[in-house]
Amino acid sequence: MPIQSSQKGAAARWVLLAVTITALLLSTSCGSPKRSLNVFVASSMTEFAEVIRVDFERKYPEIDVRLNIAGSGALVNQIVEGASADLVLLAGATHMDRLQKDGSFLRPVTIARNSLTVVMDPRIASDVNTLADLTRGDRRAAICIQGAPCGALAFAFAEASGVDLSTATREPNVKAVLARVSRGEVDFGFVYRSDAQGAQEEVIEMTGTGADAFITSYSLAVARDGQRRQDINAFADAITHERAWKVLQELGFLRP
Amino acid sequence: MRAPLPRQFRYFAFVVVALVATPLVALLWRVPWSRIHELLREQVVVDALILSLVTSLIAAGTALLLGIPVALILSRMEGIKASITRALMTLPMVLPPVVGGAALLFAFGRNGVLGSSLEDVTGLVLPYSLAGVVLANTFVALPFVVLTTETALRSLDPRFELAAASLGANQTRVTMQVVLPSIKGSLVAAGVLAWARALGEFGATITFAGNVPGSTQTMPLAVFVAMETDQDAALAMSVVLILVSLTVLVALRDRWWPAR
Repeated sequence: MPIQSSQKGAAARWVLLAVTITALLLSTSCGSPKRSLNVFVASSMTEFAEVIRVDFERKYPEIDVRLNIAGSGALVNQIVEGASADLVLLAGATHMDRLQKDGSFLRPVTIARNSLTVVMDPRIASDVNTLADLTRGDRRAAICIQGAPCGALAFAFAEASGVDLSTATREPNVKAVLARVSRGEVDFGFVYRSDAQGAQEEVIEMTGTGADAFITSYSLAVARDGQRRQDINAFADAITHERAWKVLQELGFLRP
Repeated sequence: MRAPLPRQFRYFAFVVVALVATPLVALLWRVPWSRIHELLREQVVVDALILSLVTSLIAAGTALLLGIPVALILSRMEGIKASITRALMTLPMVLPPVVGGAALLFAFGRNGVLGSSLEDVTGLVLPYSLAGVVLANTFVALPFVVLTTETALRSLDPRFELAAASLGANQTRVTMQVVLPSIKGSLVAAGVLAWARALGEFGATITFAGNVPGSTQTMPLAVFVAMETDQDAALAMSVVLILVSLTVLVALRDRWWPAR
């Protein structure tokens, strides 16, 4: 018995140690009284938002920018259900309209556009010249869910061009689609030009498909809430600044 | 007859039960009851429901078939080897399901260690197929079978099997006719827990098997997709999931719980 109780004592000490370390880690990470900004970002703008965040935090070290990245539809759902967002960067008009109905955001500004494109696994690229080649055999596609702007766009394009998508896997956001193609889990996918440009080494973009006529626009809306007005405006300025546009352009976005 | 508990416990328990019930009631509150029939008749919903029931049942059966032998062996093991084996078999229960799905992808995906040779030899591609959903579900459900069964086996009085063996029953007969029947209750419990886990499975399924309506889009995935397009449909499907689960658990009259 005494052996067992000393073992228990040892286990308890380990647990205590683990708890202490966790507590220390937590206290250092939220020790300084930083102000924070919650920025909700459509997943196709992930890289852009990350660049802006790093620049912004360098300029305003006292502000902690928290990015919440998901499909635009999911973001608006979160806000409608009570998540607090200071700035919202969305793709597509439908979700922004839904956000406007919520009433707690100011009128949005369009900051960029993006066009649809088809990307494929390099392994099939040599056999594919036209859209019809894509669906030959049992080739597998990935596409955004219809609720995400990339999905709405892609489904519209597929319908217009007669591409059969009944066996396509529906992914929650555009980054998930791109990941499926670049890991070779599916043969082709529908993403934005900016995504294709960022993944040139893993996927091959198909040209001349007519997908580029399908365009979505990105808009920025800021919370009505006056408390953190200055911080919010500062971040909005960073996003709409000419320098930010350069970043967008490099990432493959189009002028609004 | 039991000694009475402190009265405060009763209030405390009431609050906790209410806390668990609140979100469920809140969900039921939002359900568009007048349209529920038409919402549930949509093809996507019917497909997802059937697929969910089929895959979760197959997965529970597979988990039992795979898990019981492992539990039998594990219940006779001791020391560090037993601990390591048990930890390994429990891991899918503790891991975030997405991680499990990713791991499955690296093993059985088209470019996975085993997946690519599987495709070359048999032409079978697990992701985006019903078999892939079953695999993902079995993976996360297996720990429930192994742990529940092993616990039951360890608390089993060894005298019965020793008696059977001394009466001349061979090893197979002892296991099949004495050991397993005497833990029948726990095996039912293991099966139900595995089924429940498989029915609710989301992360591993969407990561490994994808989200193809009609072939891999199970109820949880359909609910997730519908949350962004048609919230009413999502609510209607959630009601079905709650009802099916609750009915099964109540119908089993607590026989699904290993302690009984």
